[in-house]
Amino acid sequence: MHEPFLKATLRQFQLLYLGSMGLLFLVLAFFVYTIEKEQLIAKEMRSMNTYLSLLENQLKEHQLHYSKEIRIDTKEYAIALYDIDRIPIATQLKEKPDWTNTVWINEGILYSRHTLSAYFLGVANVIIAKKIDSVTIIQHLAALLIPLFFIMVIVGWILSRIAFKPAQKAFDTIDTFIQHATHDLNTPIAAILSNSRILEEKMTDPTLLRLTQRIIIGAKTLNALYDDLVYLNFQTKTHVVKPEPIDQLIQEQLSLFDTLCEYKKLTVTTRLSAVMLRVSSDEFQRLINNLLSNAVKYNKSNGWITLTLTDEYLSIKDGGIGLSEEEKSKIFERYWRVGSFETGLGIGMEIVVRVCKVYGLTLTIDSEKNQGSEIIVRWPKSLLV
Amino acid sequence: MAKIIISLIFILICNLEARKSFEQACVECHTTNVPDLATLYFRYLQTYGSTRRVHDAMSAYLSAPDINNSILPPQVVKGFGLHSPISPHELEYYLNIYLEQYDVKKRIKLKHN
Repeated sequence: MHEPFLKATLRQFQLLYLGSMGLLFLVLAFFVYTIEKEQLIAKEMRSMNTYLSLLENQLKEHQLHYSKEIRIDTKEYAIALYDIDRIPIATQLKEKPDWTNTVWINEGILYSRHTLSAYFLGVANVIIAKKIDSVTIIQHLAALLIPLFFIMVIVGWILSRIAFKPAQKAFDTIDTFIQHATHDLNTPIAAILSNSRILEEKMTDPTLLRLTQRIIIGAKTLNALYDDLVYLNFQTKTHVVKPEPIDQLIQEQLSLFDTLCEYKKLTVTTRLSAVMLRVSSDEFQRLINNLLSNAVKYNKSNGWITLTLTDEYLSIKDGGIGLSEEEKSKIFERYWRVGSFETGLGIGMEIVVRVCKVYGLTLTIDSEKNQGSEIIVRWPKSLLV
Repeated sequence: MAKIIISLIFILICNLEARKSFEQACVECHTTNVPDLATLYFRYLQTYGSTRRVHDAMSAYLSAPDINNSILPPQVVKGFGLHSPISPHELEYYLNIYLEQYDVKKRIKLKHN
């Protein structure tokens, strides 16, 4: 019974864990990337300084042995030579230099500006550029972080299993208790119901009759709760699917509420066509019972209920307390009830939704606070017999 | 068409005349008696760091030669003697030919290994 809840909580915990780990890894990756990039830049700067000495020697040699063509070897770099007035002498760079910085990076290219002490061949400023190989850094980063991330995922999975073991045990205990209690409830409820009905038939005193009717209402409510609990707890039970007369099922379920309707002085109008659907009577009884139960429970004294059944849908409309927009959004939450003045466990709508999912039914709720509600259940044509 | 050809021939002749005149006025002497023009050019360039500044420094010295504004050490200047002053017009004319002849911008070629 609690398995979906536990699974959802476990999934949420795992998602939260993975999310926070992912965030942590992103921050870690950013720092590692920054450090690796700085190290790479420092390494490139050292190489550039070595090349600069070589370049100075080349310039000196060319000045001493002047020839018509001066060939400067730029190795793996792109360079630009400027005079003291920052007029270009020779350049391989397309971009204009940033004279405010000595080192800068633009579009993944590292630029380093150097001012020479001796102006051989009139070269006073040299800019050396090289593309920073970010791919290598990312490869390093991936090699480090991906295995680590997978380890953290496995650790998280194991941790979540360990953390949720006591909760799983507690839920199992509760489920076992409910299953046992449900079994033991059946006999006393049936006894109360049958005996109170006999008592009602024989009762002549109006005050005692009224008290007996109250006992019947209570017993019927208990019986409905019992049926709901059986439905939720014994999922393994096979529901026989065969053509069922839905109008008759509605009448049967309606008869279970006659005492309560009479007690609340409700006017019940039915417009039921003869409709046969290929469904399980157990499941459809739970669906109809819960919808009717809500229409009766959350109705006003001297209120009304209208039931309409066609080939396409079942509509249960009431002039009850209705639902606000906020309440409408919570209606499918387990254990949620409108206010706290009515009895029930708040599992009715969960059963309704579960039955709808089984048969592909669509549920529409139209409700207005203090005006009433209309719940429409539509079924696919394939269910029609 | 004929006008263009004539104009081109005229420019060529003028250029050759200018070169000839520069050869007679500067190169002849700087090849034999005094430091050669290439050595002087690169010494100026290494000291002043740009063609514009070399131009200004050479103009300053050649328009009013003085031991204190020469690029050569005093004892070398004493050995070769001071340059005779050149008129501003001639100076600009010869200096432009000279600086263009040794301009490193046209000669430097950057090559990847």
